[in-house]
Amino acid sequence: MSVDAPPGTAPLLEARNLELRYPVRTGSIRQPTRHVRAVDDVSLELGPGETLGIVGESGCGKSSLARCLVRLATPTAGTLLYRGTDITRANQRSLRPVRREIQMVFQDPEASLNGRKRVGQILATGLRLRGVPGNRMKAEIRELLRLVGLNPEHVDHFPHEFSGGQRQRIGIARALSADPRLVVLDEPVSALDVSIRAQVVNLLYDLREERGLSYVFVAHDLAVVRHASDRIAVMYLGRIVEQSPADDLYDHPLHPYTAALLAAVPVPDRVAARGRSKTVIRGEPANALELPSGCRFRPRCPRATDVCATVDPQLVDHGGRHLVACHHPLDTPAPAREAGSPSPA
Amino acid sequence: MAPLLEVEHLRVRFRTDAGALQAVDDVSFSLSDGKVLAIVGESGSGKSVTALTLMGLTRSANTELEGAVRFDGADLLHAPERDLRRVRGGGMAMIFQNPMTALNPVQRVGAQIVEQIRAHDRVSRSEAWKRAVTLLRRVGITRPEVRARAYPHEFSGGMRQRVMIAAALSCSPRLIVADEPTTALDVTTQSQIMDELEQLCRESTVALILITHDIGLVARMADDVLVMYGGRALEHAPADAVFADPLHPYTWALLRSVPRLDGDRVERLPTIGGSPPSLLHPPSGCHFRPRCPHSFGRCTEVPPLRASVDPEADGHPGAEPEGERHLDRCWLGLDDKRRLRRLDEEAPALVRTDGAA
Repeated sequence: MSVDAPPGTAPLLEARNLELRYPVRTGSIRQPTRHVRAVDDVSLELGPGETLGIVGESGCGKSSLARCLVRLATPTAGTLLYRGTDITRANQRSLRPVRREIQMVFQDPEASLNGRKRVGQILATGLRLRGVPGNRMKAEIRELLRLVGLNPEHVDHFPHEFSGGQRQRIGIARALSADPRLVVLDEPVSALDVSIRAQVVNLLYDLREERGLSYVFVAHDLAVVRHASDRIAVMYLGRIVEQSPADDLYDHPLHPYTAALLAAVPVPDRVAARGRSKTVIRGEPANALELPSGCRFRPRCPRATDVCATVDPQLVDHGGRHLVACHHPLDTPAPAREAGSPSPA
Repeated sequence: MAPLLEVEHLRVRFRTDAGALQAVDDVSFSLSDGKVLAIVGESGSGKSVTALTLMGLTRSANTELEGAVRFDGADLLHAPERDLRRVRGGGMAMIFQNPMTALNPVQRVGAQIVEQIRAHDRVSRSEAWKRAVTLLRRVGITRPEVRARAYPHEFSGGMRQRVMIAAALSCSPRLIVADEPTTALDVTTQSQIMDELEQLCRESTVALILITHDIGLVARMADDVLVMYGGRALEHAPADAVFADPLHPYTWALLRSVPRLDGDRVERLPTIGGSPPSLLHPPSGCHFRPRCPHSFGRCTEVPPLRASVDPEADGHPGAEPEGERHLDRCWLGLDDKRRLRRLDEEAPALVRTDGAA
């Protein structure tokens, strides 16, 4: 299963049937007895200058997928291609040139910046990697700070001397210091205040335009992802269950899970908030160790029927690059529910 | 009938090594049985300190408290610790943002609820345990008699927050203070928990103070809204009025900067330039002044929290009481506010975007 890139653009990053399993160790000798498939048969493509949003509840595997894409984790199966080169199991040495081109911004800037280093030192590492000569270093660091909207005078400050939003800007500057083509953003604004969130999202947008960057934008906030992404993939228990151009996903969600996620977002509008049907799905995702048979969303799905319990749905294109893995997508009439069909937990 | 909770001119000041910090500066509100008040603001706006002070949790040698907090007619702010203990849990209960740190990790959740019940009611251990199980069932925990014997780490985030709600309900409080109860949770879980909390409160006419930065939650649940910024109330009004006719420039910006699911997709989100003020070195006059695109000379003086006089409402019977309940803290005249808000909506470029976060 692959997604066609727009004609004329070779994909920058391509994942085919990617899988990441974690061993579950039990007993006194910590033997791996079972495995959790955090990422299960995920295929996606990212073109140059494109932003792919990945959304889902906590535990759906979105961060694991992000770590696979930057090769912080080694996929246990499948193929990961960066500009046509297979990097699925490339070793650290051969990854070095790729590492510079694929950078990551983490959720918690407090935890991901070294508190004992000054901002200038943090940024110098990436610049040295890129071969910036020592006499140019100072100027380049100041340029980076200016680029992300920080005062270049603060080059000798420590991370704790900045506010949360500023620290995330340092995290972004550090990613940019290596002059990447692709930046994987793992919940880059979740830890920030509402008023600061919009500033950082706008900064990311401007940087993408200025430097022709590609982004993978991982988030649980559908509203933020909507404005930042060209295409969006919705994950549920390790799988992509729906993938589509951003507008299409929000206007016409096809997977009942996507529709439920959208319905759960509170709208900042008094009239609309009252008119909305509130809870659409109940319960929590199934235990990733004991996946339900057939469709993983079945126990919570209002449209589930017998076929959902037996056949695992595959991603199918419903036109316009809108893929969905569901037996009863929302562009079909709701199935008549047989007596005894699984009821939502 | 007197309101359940009355807060008058509450001031909280912390003495720190770096100087005095005015965390809450002249905040007043009242709340009746069964009503929902949302306190909205960014981190550092003083909303959590306000909540903790209501519960008597900010008392310390380095805290100066001024004003009055009256719960059911009795003063709490200066009440002895013994009296406070009776009110905490029994009269008003608190739900904290992070259930993992609020629950004791080495005690079974049932035992934690039992402890709270027995602190307030003279009932036997087995009777209290039965009540704990009933409460857990009421907040939507399946097989509560088994789950009551589990430890907090055996619960998911959403289930832990349900345990917190069960504990809060355990002594039938008349007021629940929920400090960012669902910020750490997924949207789907948030939606379920807020539904349940709302239903439980309405069923038993429990009043709720909801502290949040999520404008969507406010729109859905609140009867009244208090917008806080830099320790001060900037706008205080019935929720319908805040959403239909927000009067303070900070409220406009706050409402506008929320990314939305409806409407057109925009490439650049409207923002509030700059960052919230430091309470150790607050700006003079209006705290929002440095970030406000409409500030003018007079804004260097602290504006009062007051009702704007609506010239259009003159002669409309019944219009005035509503108008009097819509307070905001801004020097702009009502006409100017409405005109400028329309301009802002049409051309967000007028909003200051200079200055880093």
